[in-house]
Amino acid sequence: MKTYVARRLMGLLFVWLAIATIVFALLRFVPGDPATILLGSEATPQQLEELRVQLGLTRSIAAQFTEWMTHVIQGDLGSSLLSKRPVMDEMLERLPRSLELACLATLVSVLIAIPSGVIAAVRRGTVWDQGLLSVALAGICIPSFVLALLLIFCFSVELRWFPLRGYHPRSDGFLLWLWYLTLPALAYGFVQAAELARMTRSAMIEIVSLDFVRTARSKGLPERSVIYHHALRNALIPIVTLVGINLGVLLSSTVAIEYIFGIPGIGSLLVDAIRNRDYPIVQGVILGVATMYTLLNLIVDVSYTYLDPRIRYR
Amino acid sequence: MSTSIARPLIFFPLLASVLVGLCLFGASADAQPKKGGILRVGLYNDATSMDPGTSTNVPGIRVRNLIYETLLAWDKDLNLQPMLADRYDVSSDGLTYTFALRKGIKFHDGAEFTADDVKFTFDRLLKVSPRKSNLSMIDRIDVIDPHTVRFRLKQAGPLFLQGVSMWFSQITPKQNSEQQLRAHGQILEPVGTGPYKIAEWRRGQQIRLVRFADYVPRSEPASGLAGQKIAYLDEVVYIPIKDNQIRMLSLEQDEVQYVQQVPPEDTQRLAADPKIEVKSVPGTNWSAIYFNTVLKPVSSKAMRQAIASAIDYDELNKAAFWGRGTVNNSLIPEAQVTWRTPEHRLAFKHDPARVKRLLQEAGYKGEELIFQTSNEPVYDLIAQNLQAQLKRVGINIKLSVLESAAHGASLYIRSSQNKVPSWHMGLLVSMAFRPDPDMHYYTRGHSSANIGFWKNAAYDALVEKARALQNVTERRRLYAQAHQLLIEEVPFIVLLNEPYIDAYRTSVKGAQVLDPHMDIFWGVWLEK
Repeated sequence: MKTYVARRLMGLLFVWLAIATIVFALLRFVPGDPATILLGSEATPQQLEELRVQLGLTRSIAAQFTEWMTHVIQGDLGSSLLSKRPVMDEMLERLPRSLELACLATLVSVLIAIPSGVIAAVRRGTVWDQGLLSVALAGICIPSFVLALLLIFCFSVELRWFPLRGYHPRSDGFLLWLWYLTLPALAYGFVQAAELARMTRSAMIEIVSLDFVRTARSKGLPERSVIYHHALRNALIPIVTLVGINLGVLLSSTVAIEYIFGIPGIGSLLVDAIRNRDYPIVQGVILGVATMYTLLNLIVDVSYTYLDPRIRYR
Repeated sequence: MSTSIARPLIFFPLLASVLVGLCLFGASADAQPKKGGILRVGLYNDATSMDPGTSTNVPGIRVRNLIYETLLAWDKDLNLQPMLADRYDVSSDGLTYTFALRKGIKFHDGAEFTADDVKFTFDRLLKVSPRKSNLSMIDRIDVIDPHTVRFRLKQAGPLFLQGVSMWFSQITPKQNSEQQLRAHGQILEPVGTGPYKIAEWRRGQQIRLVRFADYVPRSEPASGLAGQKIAYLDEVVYIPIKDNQIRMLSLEQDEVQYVQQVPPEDTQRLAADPKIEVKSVPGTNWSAIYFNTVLKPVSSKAMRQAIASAIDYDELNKAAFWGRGTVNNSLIPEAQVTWRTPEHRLAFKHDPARVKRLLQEAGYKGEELIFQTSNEPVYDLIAQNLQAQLKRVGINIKLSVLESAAHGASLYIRSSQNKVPSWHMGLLVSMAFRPDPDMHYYTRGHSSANIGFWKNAAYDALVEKARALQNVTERRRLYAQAHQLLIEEVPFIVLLNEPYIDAYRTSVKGAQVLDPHMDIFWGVWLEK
């Protein structure tokens, strides 16, 4: 197990290096230049050149890359071209907000999806099943930003139960924090739940037809225990995989929801940085998100050994 | 009130400007101003940095307007008035400016404002500012005594006084800035002399400004950015709300009391709310089509004239701005009264018969013209409408749509890489207002600077002469001539001015809605 994790972490290093190189190179090949954006349209060629020298953009790409890498290895991601603040500070300030949103959304999706998936599987073919499947289909079809606007219209504009937008850190009070994050988490969680419920349903249908479930039933276990302790536990592997992937996807795709609800998270940081060609921020954020994504996958893989003791990593 | 203003505006520009004037003054004729309260402002985008020395971030510039001050300030008619400097003397050769500074003025950190701060500010700007070439005429700055500072120039001309009055020339405190630069290498915490100081800055969430208790307003009446600045409000809280719909909803729900840049399509709905005031003023930002004058067929003057005559500008105004913009083919907007002489009314005429003649003269056979544009919302509306309009007279346009930074790179390829663009026509939207005509007439048209490689010796001579003169009357005459030349030669087509629309709760009193957009929340109070 330890060697497995060590090997995976080594692999991570390569993934990480590859991503760093690709992002760095891609950014330089995309048309658009930070100096033009900073200076605006009336910039003279001389002004542009001066600023490029100041920003270190006139050196060769290889030289820029080497310098950046040397700093990154020492834990220094550089400073934003726009705000002039260290990239690390910007990320550490915004990342927790996106993480909170992603985790809450995942929680919402798990709470909705697993019970409904199980119910649909157990009552397969009934009205319950059909109904849940239809809702899930709608959930898959509706984009989260559309749902977000619908939720805002219902709960913020008409009913006024929730605030329109904004974010409060937990230090302002847990309830205030939760109150502000509820609608965004619902908007994201519901869409994720749809896919997860379908996955739970099909995994459960497969499991409940297996012999060990019949054995469990025939030895007189109550149905509840059969379904939740025996069947669901065995159906968890694909479910956990999906939850893990979803969490990773959420982390990198909270942009739309962050934009609508005005949550200053990592997604909006990245999108603004791309628009402004703020190279250090884009590089830093993508590296950070990629690292988290790969680590998350590793955690999911490792969790299999707990879900199914037969799985061993060497 | 304002929607009823915007409509006649299209038909009777003069009447409209009188009405706008009335409602600006009408606002201050309300009940007695009172102190107190918090004004929440929905900012249309995040402020990334507020260091006057290094940042050109527009939301940041708006907020900075309450925090910092300049030596001289623009009044509402765009004339320069005293601010941190009480007066200045110019030597007879125009090369030495001596400023007498206000006495007893404090920075937000308690330090006294002196000539050392002015010297520090400009010395730093000349080194690090992205806009340092706007100040490049400064040779050196000498501190004469704590309240007198002397600027020695390399060349005389009107651009110096304008340069020191712009948002990039706001005065920062020497001692505090040096401390910040030592600690972080950057100025991250804004400290100025303005009527409001920063209390809390949660990046991306809110910027909370509180009244600066030691602020001493000037005695002259308030006008634009100049004159008396009285801070009635306890706090001004800026909340970045990027989504237009959510920003408007926040106003309707009283979560914010003031929003900027109302989309034209929302004005009618907002104005119907009795608790909301919508103010629409003639905008100063303009949009234009640039021609690549070295690429066939638009290298032909007749071809460019044909395109200019093929456009129905009123239709474009309706398509892009719901009719709330102002059709204007001059680089100088109507609101810029100092420079707008009657000659600037000379405009392109929508004339399909003339187009036919000109196209024949140009020998145009229906070749496809590449129109470089961006995927930003207003760009879309303008480009598509122009494509449809030109199609009607047989001119074929192919839109080349890029994301905004890539569009910028393609448009400004001459200034960035000295290359000839690959497009025939390029779209510029929302060119920001410039207080001095030189900043448009020289940069947009002079053969050394314009992005379409247009060369015209007569034009070059006019704008070169105008930038070296001090006399306003003489300069006005030269820019009027330059405008006539542009209408004849058509190196670019200035299409129209964008509307400028703010909206606020009726509890907000004394608000000045002015374009060029600057936040003027001094003199504003809340009625409970």
